Amino acid sequence: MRFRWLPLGWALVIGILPAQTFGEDFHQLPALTTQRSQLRIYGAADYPAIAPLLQSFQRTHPGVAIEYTEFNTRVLYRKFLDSQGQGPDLMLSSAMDLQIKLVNDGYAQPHRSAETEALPRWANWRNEIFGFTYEPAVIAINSGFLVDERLPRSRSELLSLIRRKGGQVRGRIGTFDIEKVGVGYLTWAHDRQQSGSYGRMLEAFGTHQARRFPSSASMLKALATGEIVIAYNLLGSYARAWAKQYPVISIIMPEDYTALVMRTAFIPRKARNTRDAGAFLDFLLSREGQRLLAEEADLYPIMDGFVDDEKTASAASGADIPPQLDDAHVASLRTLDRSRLQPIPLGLSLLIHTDQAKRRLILDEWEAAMKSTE
Amino acid sequence: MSVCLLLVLAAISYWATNLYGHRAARLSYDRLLAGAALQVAESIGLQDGEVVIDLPRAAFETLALAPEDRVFYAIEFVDGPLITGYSGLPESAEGSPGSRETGFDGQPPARFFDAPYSGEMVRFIALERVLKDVGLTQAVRVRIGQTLRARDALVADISWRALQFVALFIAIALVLIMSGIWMLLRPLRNLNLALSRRSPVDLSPLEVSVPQEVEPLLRTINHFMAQLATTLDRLKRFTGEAAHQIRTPLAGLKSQAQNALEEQDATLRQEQLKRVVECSDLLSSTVSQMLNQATLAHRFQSEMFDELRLDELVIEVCREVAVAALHDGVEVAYLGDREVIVQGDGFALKQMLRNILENAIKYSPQGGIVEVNIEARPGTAGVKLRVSDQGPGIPVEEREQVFEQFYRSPNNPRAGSGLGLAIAREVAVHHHAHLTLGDNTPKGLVVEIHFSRGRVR
Repeated sequence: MRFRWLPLGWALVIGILPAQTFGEDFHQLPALTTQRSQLRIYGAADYPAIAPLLQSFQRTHPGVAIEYTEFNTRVLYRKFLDSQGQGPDLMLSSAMDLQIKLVNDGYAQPHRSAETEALPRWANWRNEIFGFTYEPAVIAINSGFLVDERLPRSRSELLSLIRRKGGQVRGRIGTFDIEKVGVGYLTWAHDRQQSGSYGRMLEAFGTHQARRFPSSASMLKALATGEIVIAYNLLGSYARAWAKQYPVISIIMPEDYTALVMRTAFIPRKARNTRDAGAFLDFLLSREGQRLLAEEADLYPIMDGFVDDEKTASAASGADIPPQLDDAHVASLRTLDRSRLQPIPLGLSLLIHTDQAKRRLILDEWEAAMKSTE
Repeated sequence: MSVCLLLVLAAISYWATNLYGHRAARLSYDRLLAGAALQVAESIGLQDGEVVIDLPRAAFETLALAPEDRVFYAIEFVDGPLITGYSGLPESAEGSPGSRETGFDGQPPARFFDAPYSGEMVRFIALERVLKDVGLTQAVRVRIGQTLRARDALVADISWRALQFVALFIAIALVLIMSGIWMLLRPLRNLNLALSRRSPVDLSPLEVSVPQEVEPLLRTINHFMAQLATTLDRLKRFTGEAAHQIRTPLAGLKSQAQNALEEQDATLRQEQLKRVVECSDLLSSTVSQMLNQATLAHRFQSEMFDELRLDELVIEVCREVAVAALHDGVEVAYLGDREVIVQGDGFALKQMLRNILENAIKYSPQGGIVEVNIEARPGTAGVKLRVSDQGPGIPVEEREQVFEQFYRSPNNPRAGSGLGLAIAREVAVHHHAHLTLGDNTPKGLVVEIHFSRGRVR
């Protein structure tokens, strides 16, 4: 397996500064002119990804100083609950379940604007929480380990691949540490609900001693180096960024279903600067904000129509959608294939993933599966 | 009026649908809540003595049918700590607002109640489940609460639909009422038009086609016009007769006065002038009778009846005519001895009595007696006033005709207006009394007036 150091590009920055590894990361953007107000944002998105948006927002609101604090999603949730009265003006996170829980418990305030009205229904709950990007949960495979074999197209094909390879994949399957990584728990719990193959998957992970990673970056790094050959439930944008640099990494959107996780934003009820928080939220959902998310941050915008026409046209013409995720299909992903892609709806049913008993049950199942082979 | 009634009806029906909306919303969303609670309760189990809960996604999907509402839940030991969910949810209390209990088949009863939580009013359901394992029994309680947005929206929706329906109903009813009134009044308008187009002397029946409902009105109008025509006819005849009755004696007067002017012989002239005076008397009495009749006709319409002493009235009239009678050599005798009361108009009754008495005196021979009597018995209704004379009487075949105005018997040599008896009869009829003529013995006329409602005092 060939390993190659990346130039310090966009993709690497996303990968190398994994929020999950740090508890907290504080960034300050002073106002461009005389400071009129201050906007405090808590986010789970890495600072480099969000920075272009913050800077662009400041160009139209030069009097606003921005404080961006970055947390691991679970830490973010805890921190928010502890910060009553001194909390942020805006909450951004990809842990939809935890965000929904906060909104359900009455910590959010409604916000309505032309931008929020334009959102699809499944990306807006109660006009209090809004999805602003989405992200497929994908499988990444180091194709160097396949010999003249077709990439698996679905979970069951993945399972038969694991069965075929047997000892070759022992200790070389990676997935999130669901206990520590919020989005990992969310996608795993979603699999448990959705997938008929969940039991077999859990068993396969157990018998092949799957490794648990604290972040997408660490998992992708291990995949690129060949330390692991299969990475399960990665976030699509990270995987794509790495695949650009390491062609050996192939990304699969499983055909049985591919869950879409949303990054969401809400304005806390106790926000001190509601006005700028609302303005930044509208900016995130605006044409310009969504374009920046797509082009600068390499994230999937929630609204359609931000990719240039050529890409859309070529993508739309491809009636047969390949299971691999490549650039041509990035931004218009959702418009392409509606049956395979399954957005985890932003709503009440996410509350179930925050249930303590449920969490205990899933973690116990996981532990039991892992122990069974020791 | 009908519009008012309509508005009241509309208000009532709107209020009723609103009430129904509240009930419907509560029932349907309570069912969702109950369904979710039962699913949650089902997911609780005992495993190796431990309570294991695998919350079903379907329960939350059920609750998410109210897409905008927040949900709070707690699963706890009945007498112990929280197992999972929210701590500090409100307790259900007896008599808390909106409280009601429901039983499900084979399940312990569930209690619904309203309580504020997390800054909003929340509808809660609480139910208990007993878990049994070998040698172990655990009672757990499930509480689920949901905010009221979807309920309120449903109520608003039902009410809004009801309002639309009620508004439509009012509009249609108004149009129907208006057109109904218009159609109903159209025949009356036609009738009015037909009446106003008529010449004032045309009293023939109206020939207008009207619906059944208006027919009685048309009949009454036609009946009234027929009566008016009769009255008008009678008036015309009377005027003609009256003119004739006045013109004839005037012509006689004139010719006799002219004759007297040309007469050389003093005795003859004397004779002629006497006749002129007689003629004038007759004319004057005719005119006064006619005036009397007009006065009476007016009184009949305007005067109310009083209680009168008939005997006193009779004596008074007898006194008035007695002197003139004596002058003609006729005696008037009142033979009554009872105090009698009748209902009537004193002036009219006197007029009647005077006409009858003067008539009797006029036809009585020299030295004759006119007897006036009142017959009445105490305790029984009915009074008879009788005036008898010893004159020539009236033949049976003329007895109806003498009551006609200006009728003069061809065999009657005496001058007269021909109005006296007619007036008497009119007064009698007006007093519901019966006036009859009879024969006296050996000769003469008996006038009897029977007041059926008179009585002895």
